[in-house]
Amino acid sequence: MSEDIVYSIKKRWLPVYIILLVATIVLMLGLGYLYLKSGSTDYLSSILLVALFAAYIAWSISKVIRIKIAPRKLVSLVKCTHCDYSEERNYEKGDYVFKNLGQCPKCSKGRLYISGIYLKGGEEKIKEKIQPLPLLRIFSSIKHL
Amino acid sequence: MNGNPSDLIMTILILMVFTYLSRELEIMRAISEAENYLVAFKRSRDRAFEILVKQFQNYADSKEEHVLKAKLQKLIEITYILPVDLDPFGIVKKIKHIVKTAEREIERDVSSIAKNASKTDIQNLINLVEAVRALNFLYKIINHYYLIARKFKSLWLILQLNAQLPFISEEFKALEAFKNGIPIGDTAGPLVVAKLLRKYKDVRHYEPVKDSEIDETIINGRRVFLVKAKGPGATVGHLDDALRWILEREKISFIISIDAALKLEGEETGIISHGFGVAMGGIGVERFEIEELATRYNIPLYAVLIKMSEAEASSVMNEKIFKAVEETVQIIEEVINERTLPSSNIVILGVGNTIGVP
Repeated sequence: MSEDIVYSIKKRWLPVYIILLVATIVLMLGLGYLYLKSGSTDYLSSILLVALFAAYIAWSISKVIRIKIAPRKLVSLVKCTHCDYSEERNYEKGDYVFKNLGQCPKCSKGRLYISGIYLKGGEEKIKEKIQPLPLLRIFSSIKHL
Repeated sequence: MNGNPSDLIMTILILMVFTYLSRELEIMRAISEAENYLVAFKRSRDRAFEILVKQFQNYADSKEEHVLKAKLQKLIEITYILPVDLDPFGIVKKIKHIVKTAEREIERDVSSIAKNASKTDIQNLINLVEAVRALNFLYKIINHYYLIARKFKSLWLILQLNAQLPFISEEFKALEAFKNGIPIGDTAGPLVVAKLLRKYKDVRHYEPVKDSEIDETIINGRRVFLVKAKGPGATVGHLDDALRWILEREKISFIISIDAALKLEGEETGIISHGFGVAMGGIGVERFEIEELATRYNIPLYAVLIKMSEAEASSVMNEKIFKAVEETVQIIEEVINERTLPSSNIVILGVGNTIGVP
C-alpha cells in the first residue's frame, strides 16, 4: 500500500521534529534568561518569533503522531450448503472461493465450502454530516446563548 | 519610521525579501511533499518488480536472476500505441485488433518465460506483469514532471503534480491479490454470476470463446445464460464475443450486466445502484460491441453497479464489497421477477476480472 509507505516516510521525520522542538525550547529559555538579566525588549521579540516556530513544530509533530494505519486481516468465510453454519477464519494459503472443506460439523448433512475471501477492517469512515468550520461553530453557539 | 527615507527603503527591502522567501519556502514544501510520494512510488514499483521476479522464478526453467530480470524488464516496458483518431470511423475495431494482438503476444512471451506454469498461473502472471507495467509507467511519468518542475523551479508545475499525487497513489495498491490469486474488488461481477450458478446449478456449460464461459440455467422459470470470464485465473474474458455467440443461436429478451463502478468521494463502498445500459469499464471496445448487438436485436439493457473506489477495485476484495455481492445475488433475482416475463430468455453478464473465482 503506497499510502502506508507515504505515512512511514512522514513518520521518519518525527525525531528531527522532536530535536527541533527541544532546541527551540532551550533557545526560548536562554532568551528569557537574557531578557531577565538585561531587560532589553529585543529579547522579548525574539522569544515571540521562536515561540511561533516552536508552535509550528509542535503542530507538525501532532500531525505525524495522529497518523494511524488501521489493521487489516484477510479472512475466508466458510458456509454450509445445508444449514446456516457460517464461520470467518484466517485465510490460509491454497484457499479459493467455492473450495470444498468437507462435512459440516453442525448439521452433518451439508458440506462446507468457502463462500468468499475478503479483507476485514482498515476501511475509511465517511463523515455523515457536513461539519461547519470551527469559527462558524463558535458563532452559531454564541447565537444560541 | 520617523520620516527617515533610509527606514522606508529598509522596510520595502525587508518586505521584498520576505515575499521572495515565502515563495521559496512554498516551493520547497511542495517539492518535499512530492518527494515523499515519489519515494513511496519508487519503493512500490521496486517491490512489485521483486515480487514479479520471485513469482516467475517459481515457474521458469532458467533460475538465473539477471537473465530473468532482463526479460521481465523488457515485458514491463511494452507500450500500446492506440490508432490514429483523426478519422474515427472504425476505430473500435482497430483498437480491438491492437488489444487482442497485445494480449496474444504477451501471453506467448509470459508462457515462454514461465514454461512450467499452468494456464491459471499464466493468467495470474500476465495480470501481475500488467500491474507492474502500470506502476512502472506511472512512476516514470511522475518522476518526469517532478524533474521538470525542479529543473525550472516552477511552482505551478509542482503544485499541479501535488494536486494529482493523492489520486495517483490510489493506483499503487493492486499487487498482493494477483500474487496470491485472491478475488479483488473488480471480481464482484463474476462472483455474483458464480454464486447464481452455484445456487441454481447449470443445465448446460459452453466455452465457445477464449477465456470466457457460458452456463445455461433456469431461474424462476426463465432460461438464463450466465456469462463470465473463465476463472480462477486473472482474466476479464471476451464477453462481447460470448454474447454474440448466444444471440446468433437464441432469442434473448433481456440483458443484465453487473460490474464494479467507481464511487464518488463521500459515497459508501458497496452501495448498489441500478441503471440502463451496459455496466462495463475498460477501454470501451467490448461495451461498444455489446451496445451494438443489443441495439441490432432490440434487447433492453439493464445494469447493476456495485460502487467502490479505484483502489478498492484493484486490490483484495473487502468485506463491504463482499456483502454487496451477496446482496446483489438477491437483487438480480428480484430484477428477473419484476422486469422479465416467465419463460423468457435472459443473459446475465458478470463483468470484471475473475481472479480467484472458478
